[in-house]
Amino acid sequence: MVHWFKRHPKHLAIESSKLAHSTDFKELFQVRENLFISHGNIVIRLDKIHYFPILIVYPEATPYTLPLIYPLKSSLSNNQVEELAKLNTVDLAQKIHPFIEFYYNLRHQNHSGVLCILEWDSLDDGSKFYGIDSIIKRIRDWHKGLITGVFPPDSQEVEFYSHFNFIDPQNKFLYPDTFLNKTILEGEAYGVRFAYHPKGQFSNFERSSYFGCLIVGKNRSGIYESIDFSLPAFFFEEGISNATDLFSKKELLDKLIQSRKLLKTFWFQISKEPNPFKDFKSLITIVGNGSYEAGLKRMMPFYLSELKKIPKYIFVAVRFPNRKGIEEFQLFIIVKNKENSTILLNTPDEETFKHSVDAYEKVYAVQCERFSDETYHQRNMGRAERVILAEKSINVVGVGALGSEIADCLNKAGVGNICLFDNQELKAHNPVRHLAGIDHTGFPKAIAVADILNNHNPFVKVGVNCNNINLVDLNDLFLDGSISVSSMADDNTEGFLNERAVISNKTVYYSRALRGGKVARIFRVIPGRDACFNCLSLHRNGSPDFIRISDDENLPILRNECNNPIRPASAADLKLISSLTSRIVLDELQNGVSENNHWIWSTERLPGLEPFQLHQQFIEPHPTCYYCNHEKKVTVIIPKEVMREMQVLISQNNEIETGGVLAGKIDENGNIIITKASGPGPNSTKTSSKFQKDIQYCQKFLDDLYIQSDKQIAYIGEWHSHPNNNNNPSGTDIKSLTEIAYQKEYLTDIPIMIIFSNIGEPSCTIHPAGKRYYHANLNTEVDSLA
Amino acid sequence: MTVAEKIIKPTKAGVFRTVFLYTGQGESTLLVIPSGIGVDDYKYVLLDSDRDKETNEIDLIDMFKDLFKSKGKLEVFINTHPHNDHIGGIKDVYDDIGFSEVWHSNHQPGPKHKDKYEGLKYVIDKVGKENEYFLLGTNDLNKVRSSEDKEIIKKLGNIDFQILSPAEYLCDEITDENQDTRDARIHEQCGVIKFTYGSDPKSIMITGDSDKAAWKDHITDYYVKNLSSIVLSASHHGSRTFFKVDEDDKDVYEKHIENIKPTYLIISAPKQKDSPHGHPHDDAMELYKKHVSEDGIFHLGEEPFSVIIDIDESGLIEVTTDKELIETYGKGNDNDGNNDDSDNGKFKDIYIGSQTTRLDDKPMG
Repeated sequence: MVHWFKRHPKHLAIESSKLAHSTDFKELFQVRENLFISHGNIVIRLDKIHYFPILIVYPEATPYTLPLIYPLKSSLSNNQVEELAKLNTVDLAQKIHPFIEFYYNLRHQNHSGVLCILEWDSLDDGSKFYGIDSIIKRIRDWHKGLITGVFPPDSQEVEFYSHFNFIDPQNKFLYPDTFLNKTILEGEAYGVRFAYHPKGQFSNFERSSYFGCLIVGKNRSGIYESIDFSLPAFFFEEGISNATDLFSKKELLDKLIQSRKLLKTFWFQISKEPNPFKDFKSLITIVGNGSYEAGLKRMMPFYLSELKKIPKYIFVAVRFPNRKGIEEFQLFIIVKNKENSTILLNTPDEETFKHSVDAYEKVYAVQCERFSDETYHQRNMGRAERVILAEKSINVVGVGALGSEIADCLNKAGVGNICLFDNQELKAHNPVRHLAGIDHTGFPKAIAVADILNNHNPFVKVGVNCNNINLVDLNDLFLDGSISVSSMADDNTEGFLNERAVISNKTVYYSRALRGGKVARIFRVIPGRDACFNCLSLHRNGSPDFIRISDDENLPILRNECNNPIRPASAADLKLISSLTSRIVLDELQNGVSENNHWIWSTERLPGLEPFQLHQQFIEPHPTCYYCNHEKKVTVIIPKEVMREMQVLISQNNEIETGGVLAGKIDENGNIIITKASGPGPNSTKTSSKFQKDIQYCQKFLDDLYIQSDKQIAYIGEWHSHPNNNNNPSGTDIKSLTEIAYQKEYLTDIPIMIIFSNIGEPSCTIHPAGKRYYHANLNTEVDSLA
Repeated sequence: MTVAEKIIKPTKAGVFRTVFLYTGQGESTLLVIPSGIGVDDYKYVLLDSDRDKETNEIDLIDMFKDLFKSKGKLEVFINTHPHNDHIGGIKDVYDDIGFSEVWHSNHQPGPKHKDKYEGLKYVIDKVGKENEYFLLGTNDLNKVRSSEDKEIIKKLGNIDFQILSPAEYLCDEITDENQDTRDARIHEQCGVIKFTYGSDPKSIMITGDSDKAAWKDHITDYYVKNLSSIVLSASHHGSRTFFKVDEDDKDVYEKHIENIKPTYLIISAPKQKDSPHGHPHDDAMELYKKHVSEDGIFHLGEEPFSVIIDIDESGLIEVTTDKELIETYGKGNDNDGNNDDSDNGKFKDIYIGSQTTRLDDKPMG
């Protein structure tokens, strides 16, 4: 290691001179050994001259970082300074510790004793070097505060707990907005443990993280209130289904507290943010809003029974408006002082309480952080808009190396619902490229990833499906209005997915890594607009627009779990492809679909592709694609009279669904004319999310018409209403109509469906067997058939 | 915000700020005097003026232009005595910046100071008789004399001042008087003013170039109860004439400083080697150090820097130094804090040793 002063001799010279000549810092000794350090007194000239000894240590990153400033109890000797200069910064920090003056009641001193009173980075100007002059000035102003009580203003808000010299390294406490409910003033608060990490290779102590799950307390009139809570998604405990269970099941509660799965504290509202402090007495005084006696009195009813036993430590929390006026909740751990811990018996409560309180001294601030949907997504602002994305549902089909990372990106972006589809288990060799770690070996991949997504964003609703999607009807599984991202990279399964999705009019993005991850092909299929998976297979042979990517024969062929041949690829490539896919999907979710539907990324030069560039294009549906090229636009004619009949039925109760069957005929132009619509029938099922017609009633309706019309008027399709403003077909609707199109009994392979919104606005879709459904033109201007 | 505004204007109301500006060999002190309850309620008073061409000297005109860029104006010029290094450039300051009153010691200097004295006479003439005031020693607070030599009480904002000297005016012309004798006579009758502020009052003693004779014969004994000042502006740029008639004078006078009892001493002089008179004198410094702790002594030319004294309404005093005014308004800056081999005393070895290569006996073959 070349010392910083060998690399920056000019900086050394300037700093050295300035230290020697400063009027605010009277230097006693300056030594350059292994470290360059300076020792002297900060001089403050008021009614008399005040001196504050400090040690200035230049770390190895000088001048890119600021010198460390240690306030000292007294001056050091030349020898001591010379010895210190022979050390490195870490050893020096240990050696100097007993000499450090700790100002427990003040901000801007780290628990290492170093003053932290200068910010040195600005987003606007980039980094800049501060000379020792301005640092000394700032140290002087801070020390002046020790005499006058007036400190230089903070230029940036720093978390309250970080100003404490003792910060609890083991516990963290996150709390939801409900913890700041202003109607209550003091009471109990609970946190559930959502993470526990034992000591490990990189951590010298165990760590627990808690999430505030319940707060109860007295309001201004002294009446107890509990604030309405839903337990966080990551908390699961047998016998507890909601926050009130926690409070009412006393035995279970005690067990959970004892095993530290639950953290219980009492809390007190105070009027303003306190100064940092060192001991329990100061905290009691703060709770007493300035009076120790008042603090004791306020705390006794809460702590008496607990403190009688003199446990090893207790929790105390305060709530206050911080200096910006924003409410904060701050938790402390108070540790028993070993020497004084006898338990008093048969003494009055007040005496017992005072005695017990005396057994505690040292206070550790617990790192506390407000944790809400809004604050959690703040850092995504402008790039991933939670407000928009929270409304979206995405099916991630295949959660392998690509799919797991895509799911993670979308999850972190705050997509409202994510459903994971994968029927494989995680093998120990997967994590080398997968989101999940070795600890999830043997888990179904979907569950392993769901676990991780939950941990990365508890505000996203994650669903899991471990079925083989070849064996199920996707309409049963995909949420209405959802889109899908597939990274299965299996032609057959994706062919099937494509067929089901195109027929159901569902958008799917496909993402594939090619040539060992050096190339990615990402494409979107909006049925009817984009080339579908099948169209692309057709384009592959012959279309000049389609860029073919051949295998890299130089890479070895491996076998995957299903004994299929695969090429290796590294996480560096796969994560990039996952991010790229996620970004395309997020952009389209937020900004609307782009004019392109096909993206190829390559890190190498290939025909038609430049390295490290994204090739974008639009590929049309193939003219011979069975799924895509079938639309013969027909018009559906509904006479006003028939229309009115249906709308009257809806208006009778627009909060539940209603419906019936449609009868009519097809004219010589292929247009469909609805001549009659049935009602639901007396035995129909009508709820807010479901409609089932009275079969007998509707059968009779059709049979009668058929006879009356001389076998001219027959079954055409179905109609029903939605009790909301959405008149698009739901998954159930599509599934039923698809079945109708296939089933021989219905005697039609193009059933139509009319759906009304709750204000009677109709939509009409045509559902040809084995092809995707589409919206028909609707003509409702004809008066009657006569 | 300009540098002058940032450094000189108090950011709250009710602070009496005195800025001892670095001007090389000479003296210019700016008084920022609270005059109301608003943050902009301040009167600006220039006490002596030295504007020539010394290295690093703060250019008063550039500084004032920046200081009054958006608000405020210079109102009064006070002169302790009409010597070049206390009146230099005042004509230009008047022409470029302007002020409405002149208070002065009402002496006529010898021919050496003639050119610059013409400048003072010019501004006195410009402000007019009704805005001209004379200094004269008095036991009363806030008392000056009108240009018709009548006593009047005149407040300077919310602070108090007391004029301790001159005891008389030197307007006579002694035909065969030489330059040195006349200079000495003016120093004996130099303006000395004490400024006081705060509910727990703190004072600043401005001494001009007043010498041993002035204090011994005219000031100390008359005003002995009123001398105490936490800040003393060293007379005559740290010259020994405050204590002695000359270098060989064995009768060292210290009664004045014993009664002033300053905690802080400001010496407005360049580095000793750059001073034509060797200011501050070593023997004077020794004497000052008997009465003021080393960390309370500010020799402006040493770094150089300016010294800022703040006294608030309660009387809390704070003394700080500033280099930014010199960096911004100084002339011909060579202030890189480097290669400075002059009078840094005991620190010199430390920092040179820290900065330079340390050799060892590496063999060569």
